[in-house]
Amino acid sequence: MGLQILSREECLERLEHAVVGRIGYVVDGIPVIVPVNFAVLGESIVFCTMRGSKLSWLSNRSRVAFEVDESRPSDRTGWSVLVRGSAHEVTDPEELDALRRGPLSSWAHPSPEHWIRISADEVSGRALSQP
Amino acid sequence: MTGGLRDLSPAQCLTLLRSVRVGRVGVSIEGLPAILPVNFLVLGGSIVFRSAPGAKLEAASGGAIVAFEADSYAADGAWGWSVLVRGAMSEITRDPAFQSTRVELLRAWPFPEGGADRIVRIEPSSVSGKGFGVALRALAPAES
Repeated sequence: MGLQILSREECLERLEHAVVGRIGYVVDGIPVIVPVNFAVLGESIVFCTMRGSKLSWLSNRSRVAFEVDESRPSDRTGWSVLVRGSAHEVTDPEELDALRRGPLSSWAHPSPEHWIRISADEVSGRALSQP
Repeated sequence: MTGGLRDLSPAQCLTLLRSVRVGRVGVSIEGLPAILPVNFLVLGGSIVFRSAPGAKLEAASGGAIVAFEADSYAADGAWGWSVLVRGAMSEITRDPAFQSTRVELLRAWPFPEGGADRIVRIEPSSVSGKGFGVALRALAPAES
């Protein structure tokens, strides 16, 4: 089985084609993982959530992990990308307006109130293929 | 859209976990969160997967509380669910209950890649899940 380390560009490209990722963060020493619909904007990950949801505690500059993977059990191939960075709520009215008109809508929460951007400070990824 | 999220019972969560092969372990590496995909099995109520020496195994040796997540969804967003398990992670060394042929399956699956030949388990201290859409009907059959 071939293991390939993905470059930052390859990682971001794979993220652009995915729709569901998972946010990981630590609350009082206990890690939490929550799936989100997301979009890649430039070098950031953007997603929306509801106030009062698990993710709404994320304050500006919280350190978070963001992960996307895909696998095909039938031929035992797969890839995963891990982004680590800090979370920031989007508050700029113009940016918010653009996001609300954009393609990103949460499946679970039809009317999101909260937009969060994760800076892609560290990006790593690997792909497994059959030789 | 199908009208919001519903909470799933722990039993429903375990049923759903048995229907997928890939989950994600959340650990803290150098004080920062990281998420690592793993192929896993549900065995005796525990989440069982392979690990290489490294962050996950270090967490296991310390009995750290880790997060484990799995989810599935329709490509068109018509249904989806996710389950979050929290619990202490520990390495399985001698327990014969975990030397089964099913555990051998883990060795044939891709995640994690490389020399990940140790077997670890997460013993759930909490199991929670949410879902939306038609996939949940099968989990809550009408009483007859």
